[in-house]
Amino acid sequence: MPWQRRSTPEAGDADRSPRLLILDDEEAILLPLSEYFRERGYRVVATREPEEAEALLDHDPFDLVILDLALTYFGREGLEVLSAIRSRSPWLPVIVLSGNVSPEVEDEARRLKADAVLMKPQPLDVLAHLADGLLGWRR
Amino acid sequence: MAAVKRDCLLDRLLMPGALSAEFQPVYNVAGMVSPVHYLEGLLRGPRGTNAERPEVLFSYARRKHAEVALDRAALRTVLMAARGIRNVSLGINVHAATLASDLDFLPFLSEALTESGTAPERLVLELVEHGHVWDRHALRLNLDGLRQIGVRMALDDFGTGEANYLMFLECRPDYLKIDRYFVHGCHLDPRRQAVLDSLAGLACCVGSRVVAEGVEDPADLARVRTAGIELAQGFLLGRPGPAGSWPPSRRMCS
Repeated sequence: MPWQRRSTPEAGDADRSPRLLILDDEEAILLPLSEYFRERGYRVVATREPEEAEALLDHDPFDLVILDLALTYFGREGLEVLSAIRSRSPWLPVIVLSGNVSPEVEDEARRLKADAVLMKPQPLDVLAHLADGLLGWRR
Repeated sequence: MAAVKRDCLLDRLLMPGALSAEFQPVYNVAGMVSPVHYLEGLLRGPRGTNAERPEVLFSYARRKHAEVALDRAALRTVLMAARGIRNVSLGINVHAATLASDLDFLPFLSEALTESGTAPERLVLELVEHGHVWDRHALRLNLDGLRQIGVRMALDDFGTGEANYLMFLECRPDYLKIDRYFVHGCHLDPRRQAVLDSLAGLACCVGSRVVAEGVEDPADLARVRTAGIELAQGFLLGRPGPAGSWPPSRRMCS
């Protein structure tokens, strides 16, 4: 069963809400995406930096990751982060968002077992539907 | 087109005033009354950021290859925060990898101690380690220099990760802090009790003092005492608090 949808998280539900990590170096995407998933009851941790994301993954259990594939500003590619995630958490659901990347990079993301590879921009409800489905499938 | 320079979290962490410190006591629990043996300064990242928790903060710094810079900033932050605290020793964490790579650590620390008005004899450097120390020669040089000015050493989180017997021999610590993994629930677990008894004996042989970390249960504390361990730290005894909350209004009694 997918996670229950609700407009605002209710008190006491925080521990049962899915934990979502979003990594995207564009604040114009990161902020609305975070807000949208928070409103849907997710516990969202958002970061622009790959190293920050990996440090969080070292210490916190996440249920889902949404990862930008083109992290140009910090000099690392999303593929590196995806590879690091897969080496430590082979079963953690990861949705990859690709912008200006080559088809080869997208293929590499699929080879690294990204659960979904979507072109940017995507309607938020499409992303949410996919996220709910992945978590429901995994439960 | 020129690349846009973005500020990263590391830049913000290393700005003056970004980091803060809290202090948690290590108590001597051997007698009927438990006096404070020393205060451990615990680093906190900027409030409201993902790096507020120290474990995430240091994990991030390691990935940015900025352990030395963060260790220095942490030392300075804790020492400056403790300026109002008198007559008790201070424990501060530093990575063994920093001591093995920062050849200017000793002059840096001397300057920071002077600036904060802290005598070196009050300082206990708690060595933490999450990776392999490659340059043991440099580590020894720094440790020898620190001992010469009166700084004491503790080996933190002993028994887990890289905090192992090799580091025990290299560091010759004044204090051996047993990781909470071995302390939590020890009163119910003969194997944990065997580890505590063994480490207490080992420390006694070489003149080190043992600190039991993560004491949260009176029954565990009783078993720690039975092992002959005199020093203990944990939420049962005292939680971390700001420098302003020191000294506490009430002393722990056994």
